This record gives sequence, structure tokens and C-alpha cells, in this order.
Amino acid sequence: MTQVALLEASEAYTHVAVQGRLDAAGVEAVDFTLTSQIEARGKPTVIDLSGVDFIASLGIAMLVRIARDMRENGLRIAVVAANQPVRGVLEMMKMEPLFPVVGTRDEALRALGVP
Amino acid sequence: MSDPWVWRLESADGAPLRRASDALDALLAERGLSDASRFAARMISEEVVLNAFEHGKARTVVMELNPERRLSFVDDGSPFDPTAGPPSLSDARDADEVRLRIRGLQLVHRFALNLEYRRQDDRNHLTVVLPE
Repeated sequence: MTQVALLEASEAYTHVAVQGRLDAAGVEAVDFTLTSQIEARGKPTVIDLSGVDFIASLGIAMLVRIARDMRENGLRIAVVAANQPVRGVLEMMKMEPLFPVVGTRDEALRALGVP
Repeated sequence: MSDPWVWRLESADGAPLRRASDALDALLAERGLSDASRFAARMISEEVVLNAFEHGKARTVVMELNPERRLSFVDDGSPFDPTAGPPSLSDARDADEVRLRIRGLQLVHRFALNLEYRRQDDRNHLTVVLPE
């Protein structure tokens, strides 16, 4: 089962984690909650996919859409992908121009310019 | 009773596709295939099946695991040869749908060792070879 958890909601940033698979079923399960949590807070956001062991095109499309929506409001996201196959897919699909893909939360905060 | 290595899908809903992918993964694990091969199988099945339903407007997709790491798909959607270069996207609803379809096809090409396509009996027949 794919789930979302809000890990941190500070004045400076939002940190959310996704657990499970970002296949069609996983995206159906988390898209609304993930998008709402991020956009309602309106802060730079770390999306932690360390607990995700699979991502396909629908999962990538969800991240792209969130990144674009945030950018329209002058905000950015950074994605933590510690799982190597998942990180490999994001690198293969050249996501870097839209959002940085890093290995840890601290790297993500640095990429977002959050002190 | 149906064969355990054949899956018949009748919609793009995520839940049945995940059940089929999980069953396929279990069979591949039983046959001793590597994690990389199993990841590739999950990726290819997800992308090929969704492409057939979402873009080809298929009513049915049959996925079958064959010997020697071959995975085949037969669907009754509009003709589409994924080995023939970029797809015709004239019927796409918007730019996001175009990007989604291209991304899905790129993933299939990246994860499959080989793709063979033929159109026969008004159906698309696609066979891919999984990596070791």
C-alpha cells in the first residue's frame, strides 16, 4: 500500500515522505493527499522517496506536475531518492531541470537554499 | 482455471494491474531472476498495459510470461508499433499526455533487452526480452 506522511512542517519548508510503489495504483492512492499537503503549505518542499521501491511514468508525471505548480508560485521542490533503482529512473528521465534528485534530506535542503 | 503465467486485464485501473505485476514478480522470483530483471518486468508491464488502455483505447490486454525471459502482450487497441520510432500523438488531449506517453515508451525501451512487434488479427502483439 502506498502512503504519504507529513514529516516536518516548519516556517521554512515542508518535508513529506512517500512509502510504497509509485505505479498506477500508488499514484491513485497518494496523488490528492500529497499534492494538497504540499500546495496548501506553500513552502519549499522536500519529497522523500526513500521508502519508494518502484516508480513508473505516472509517478514521474505526478512529481513533474507538482514541481510545475510550485514553480508558478515561485517555489521549488527537491526529491530524495535513496533507493538506487528509483534514483536511476529519475536520472534516466532527466528530471534535474525541474527538480534536484539527491540522496538525503540535508542535501535536499541545501539544494532548496533552506538554511 | 487459467494458467498462472497469463494475465487478462480489462481496464487501466491500477489495482488489477498491480495484482498482475505482483503475481508476475513472484513467478520471476521463483524462476531465480535477478532484482534488476524483476524491476524491468514491473516497469515494462506497467507502461505497456497503461499505454494500450489509455492511448490505444484497448478493451483487453493479455500479458504472458514465456520461457527464456520473454514477456508478451496482446491487445485489441488501435495499431501501435513501439519499435517504429516516436508514436503518432495527434489524438493526444494535451502536452502533458504527449510527455507521459513518450516517457512511458522511453522506459520500455530502456528496460527491455529486445522488442518485437507485429499486428495480427486486428491486435497488437508485442514481445520483450527481460534483462538477466
